[in-house]
Amino acid sequence: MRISVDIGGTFTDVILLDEETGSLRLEKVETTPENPADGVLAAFAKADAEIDKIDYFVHGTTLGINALLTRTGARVAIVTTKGFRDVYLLARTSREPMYDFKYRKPVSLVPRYLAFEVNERMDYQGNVLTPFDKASASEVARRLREQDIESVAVCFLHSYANPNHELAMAEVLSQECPGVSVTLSHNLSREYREYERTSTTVIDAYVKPITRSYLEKLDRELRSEGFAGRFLMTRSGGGAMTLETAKAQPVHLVLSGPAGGVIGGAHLSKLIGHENLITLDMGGTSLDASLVTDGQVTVENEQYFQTLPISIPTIDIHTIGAGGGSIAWISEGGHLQVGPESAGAVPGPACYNKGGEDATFTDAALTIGYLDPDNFLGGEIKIDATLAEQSIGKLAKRINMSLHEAASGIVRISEAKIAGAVRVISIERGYHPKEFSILAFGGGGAFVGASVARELGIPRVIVPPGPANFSALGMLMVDIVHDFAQTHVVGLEDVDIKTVNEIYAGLMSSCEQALAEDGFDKKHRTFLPSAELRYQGQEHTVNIPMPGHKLESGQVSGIVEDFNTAHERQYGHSMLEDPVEIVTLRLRGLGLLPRPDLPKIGNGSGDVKGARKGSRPVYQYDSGEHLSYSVYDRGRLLGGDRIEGPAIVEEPSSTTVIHGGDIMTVGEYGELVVQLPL
Amino acid sequence: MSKIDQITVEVIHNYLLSAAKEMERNLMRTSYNTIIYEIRDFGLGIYDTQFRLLAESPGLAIFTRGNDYGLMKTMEFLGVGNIDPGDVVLTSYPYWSSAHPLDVLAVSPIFHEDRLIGYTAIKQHWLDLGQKDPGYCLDTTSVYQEGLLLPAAKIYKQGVLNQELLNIIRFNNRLPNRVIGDMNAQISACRTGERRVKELVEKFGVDTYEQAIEEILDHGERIARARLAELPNGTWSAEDWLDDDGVDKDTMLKLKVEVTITGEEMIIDWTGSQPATVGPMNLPLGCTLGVSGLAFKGVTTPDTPANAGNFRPLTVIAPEGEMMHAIPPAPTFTIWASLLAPEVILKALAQGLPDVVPACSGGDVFDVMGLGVHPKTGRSWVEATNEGVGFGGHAHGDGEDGIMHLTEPGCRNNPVEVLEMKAPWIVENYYLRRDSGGPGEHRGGLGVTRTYHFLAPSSVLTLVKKTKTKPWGMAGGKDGENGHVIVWPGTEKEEITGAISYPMAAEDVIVNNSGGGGGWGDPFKRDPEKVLEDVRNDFVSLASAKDDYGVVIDPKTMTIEAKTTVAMRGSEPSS
Repeated sequence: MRISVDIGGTFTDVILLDEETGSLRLEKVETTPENPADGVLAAFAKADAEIDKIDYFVHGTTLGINALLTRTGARVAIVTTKGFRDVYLLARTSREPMYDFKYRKPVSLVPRYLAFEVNERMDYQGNVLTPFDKASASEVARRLREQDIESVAVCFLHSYANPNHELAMAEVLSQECPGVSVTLSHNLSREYREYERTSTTVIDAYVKPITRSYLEKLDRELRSEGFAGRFLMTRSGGGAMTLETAKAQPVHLVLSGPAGGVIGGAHLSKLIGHENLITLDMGGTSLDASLVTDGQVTVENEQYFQTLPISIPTIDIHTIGAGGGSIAWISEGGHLQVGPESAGAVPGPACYNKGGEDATFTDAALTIGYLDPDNFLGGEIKIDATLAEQSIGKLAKRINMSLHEAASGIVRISEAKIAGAVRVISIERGYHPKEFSILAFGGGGAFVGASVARELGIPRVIVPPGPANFSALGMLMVDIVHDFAQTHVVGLEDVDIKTVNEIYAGLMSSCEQALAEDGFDKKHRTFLPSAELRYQGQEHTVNIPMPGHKLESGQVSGIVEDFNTAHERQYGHSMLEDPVEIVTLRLRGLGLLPRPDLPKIGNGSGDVKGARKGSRPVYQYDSGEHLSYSVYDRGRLLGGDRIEGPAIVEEPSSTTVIHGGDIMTVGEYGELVVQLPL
Repeated sequence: MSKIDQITVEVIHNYLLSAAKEMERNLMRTSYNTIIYEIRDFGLGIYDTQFRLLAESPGLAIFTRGNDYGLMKTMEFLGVGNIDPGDVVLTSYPYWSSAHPLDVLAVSPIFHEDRLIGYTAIKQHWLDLGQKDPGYCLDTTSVYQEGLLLPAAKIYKQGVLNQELLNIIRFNNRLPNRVIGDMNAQISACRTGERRVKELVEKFGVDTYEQAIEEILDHGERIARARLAELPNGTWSAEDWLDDDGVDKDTMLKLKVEVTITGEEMIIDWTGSQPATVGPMNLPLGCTLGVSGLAFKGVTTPDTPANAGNFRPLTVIAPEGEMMHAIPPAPTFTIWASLLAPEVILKALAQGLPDVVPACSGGDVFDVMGLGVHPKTGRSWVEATNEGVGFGGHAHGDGEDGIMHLTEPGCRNNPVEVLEMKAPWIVENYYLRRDSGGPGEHRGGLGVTRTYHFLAPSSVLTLVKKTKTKPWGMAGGKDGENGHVIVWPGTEKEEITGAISYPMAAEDVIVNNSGGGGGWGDPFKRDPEKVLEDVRNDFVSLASAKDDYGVVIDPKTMTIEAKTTVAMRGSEPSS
């Protein structure tokens, strides 16, 4: 048996998969912020999991990102090269708001008086300019003890080229500050740019003690309850990692929250034969969009938390403040706006009747008829359409609109913002949306999927089984992943293939060792070598898969060609005559876990009358009139069933909207496939 | 327009903003030059057929606003009837493009079927166009020394590359490959914006699109007018000084402004500023309009995306032929008056709006540029970085420490590890300057120090023109420390200066100190706990805490000595 538990801000999702019977159990429990381990055990109980029969437990947690959001992580000190204590505080000295003369950077994770300098210096090739001064390192260690530091981020200049001084510092700290958590920058990133590497190191150090104690406690409790399987954590760069890796490099957990759904999307894409997907995960406060191409997640080498860079491979997920709880408001100039502020779970949308008065996306969806007030979350939560209408009516009056115009305007603006987010991860990366299908999940994805698809010319929307728990489902599909990289700047024209192969051999041996430590034999290891390339003189790179980790000189021209093609696709031009250079060599190693089979649903008779619950009017933005939508119960639909829009398919935690002209069919895993007439 | 169209307006507005953002990403990712991808020395936008800005993306704020004028002059010269789909037009004639000739404006028309529906425009810094000196010019006396002038020249005609023009650019160039690579990135980004707007118009139709942009602009105007109406009416004036014009090093240059707010409009009048300068400190009119608009927007609508509607209530006056309105053939290369100009506008407004505007920032961009031939590769190199300054304190809080000047929001510093990989120098240190922020109830932000140690014969240029006057404090706050450059520190040749262009020998050292922001309000009213925190963080020295803030701190225990502090301040400390 496999179980996944995904802790979110409000709810904890759990999915139990019994591979023998093929049964899938989806449950939700309330998140227990004060003791998340209790929440995990409660989730196990809710799913009636027999703990001793679980082979794999895959876990996702927001612990790290919450500590960052609330600034409640460890007391961290920075140890850096003499003369550079302010690299972290200064950051890149930039700001996004163009006209704000009073701009402040976000509150720093480390105050200036906790940044310490050690006398040492390397040059960019890793040559020692100033030897590591052990006396100054010991003096720093003394001050760390004096300041009761819990966690230390060590980042020396040019350590990506030569990590010896960071290793020497670790040695001093292990002797003079025993018990203090230490993060060395070169262990997380072997790439240049000191601020970005320092920031990555600080974030890791900041969440390390809290993550470590949580994971150790949870593991202990599970083991004492009889758990004997493998305990894995989801990883922001895709795949999973072992408990040991998660404790050593918790920075890989920080942005892992929305990763499960994308990983699940990649796996599902192969099962259902649609290997190019745009995933739309719409929750209560935000929407996460990502891209699956040829059945693979797409990875970027740098992401941000607030304005703080994290330089590790991370699934390319674009998040915007467009969720079910996003609040509608009127700008000073009299324009209707939606988000990014959210009513969250408390007080929530006005229709929840928990004291929220602001009109939200959910209130608008209810008012125009997308939602059934009597069947929200399968009837578990009673929502009040009158309160929704009141909240929207107040806005409508201020801008001289009718109730329904304003409500459909709120939905329309949200859809436009979501379409914008999809543009960022597709068109801006050189992919045309029409070659993709939308995979819509989360509580709200299936509301907006068809409209967003229309806006962008995407021919198809797919709603997976259990859309509201899909992230947790995705977590059951993971392999173990390790990423290694080494900066090596050299022109491809005069490249010494032997040196490149030596670097790959080094990356291979690190990767082999990590996978062996995780318990994978040679049969269950796969390696994906790639390289970051650019035209000589450019700074930014394009990641190009390599034909292997032992290159031959005859392959170079093909690599250059691949790069030119990718550059042309992403940016609309290539410079065929310009020399191309390697910047960074990368290797991703996978430890392959047995793939669970997703249960299939049987085929239906083709008659969907039995699933039809009735109909309800839905307000149409374009015509300004109501149109009757047939309403179906998803639980009673079977494989091969076909429904023509306009229609609505309801299930306890999600609602799929199918517009006029759209045709929906049910696939063999129970996925709803909505085809648009394009 | 019908009510429901308002939703469509919002949809179209979002689309235009994301198209501008995409242009920026495309440019950053494909350019060949640190000055673009790290320092973001560019400005870009999407325009309608009347050259009105619809959407922009962060870069150099002075560029974006100046592009409005540059686009208009380019099209006036070319003739709107003489532009075809697939054309790309380059302008480096400074009196039109509104910056110096190395900041080249590229314009790409947007057509829907046969109809012209707008433009995309990007101005960005080119590394060379055969100007008098490599890198940058500090002492030209005529535009004809400042590089190749491109007067609305088509580099693409109906989608076909103009090889002759390309050859002219290539042959008038010290760094042809990097310049052509950057130009390709610039054109590609223009085309990206062009494609997006075309798609948008195809989707909504020209009529809807045109109605929507009128409303986007009207909306921009409405919010600007609403904010303007909240400000007190009056007329205030101020002046400040730039170091020199680069030729006559002994004469400081005056910036004088008179700002009037009525219920209806803001008038910014530069009459009384410096007459035309002999050296290259003259400012093209579009640039003066741009930086005046920057200050106006910062005071009225800093929180909304910019479009031409925002600037309708603004009138700018700059007498023709003077420093703030250059005419041919006046040299314009060192456009540093554009950096100080918005500060002087805020200085005037400070008298009437002390609770709205901040004190002076560090006042400049403190750019250091090195160039030479790299001994390891034999290739030419040019690297530069601007430095953060302190922002001015204001009624609601302290100024930020080490942040790029008001005029260059998107700009980033160049990392030490990048600088050292690309050029034969070592950065010896990089840190915040203690006590450089002006004391105040709300402290001015700190400036920054960076020290360069050359490893091989090279040249260095420093672009700094406000070193002789201090960043002013306001409402009782004290001045910040002004920035300066120290060449050959600790040697007999040591020189403390501003803008220079010197050869450097191996082992030569230069220190760049950027300015701190001015303080706001009486420093004796600053919360002593905040002063203590500043001392603990070494932003403020013990001596300054005592002398400037009247807070006496015991360095051993790091606690406030209450009695002496009260005595110093003459009242109870607030904590």
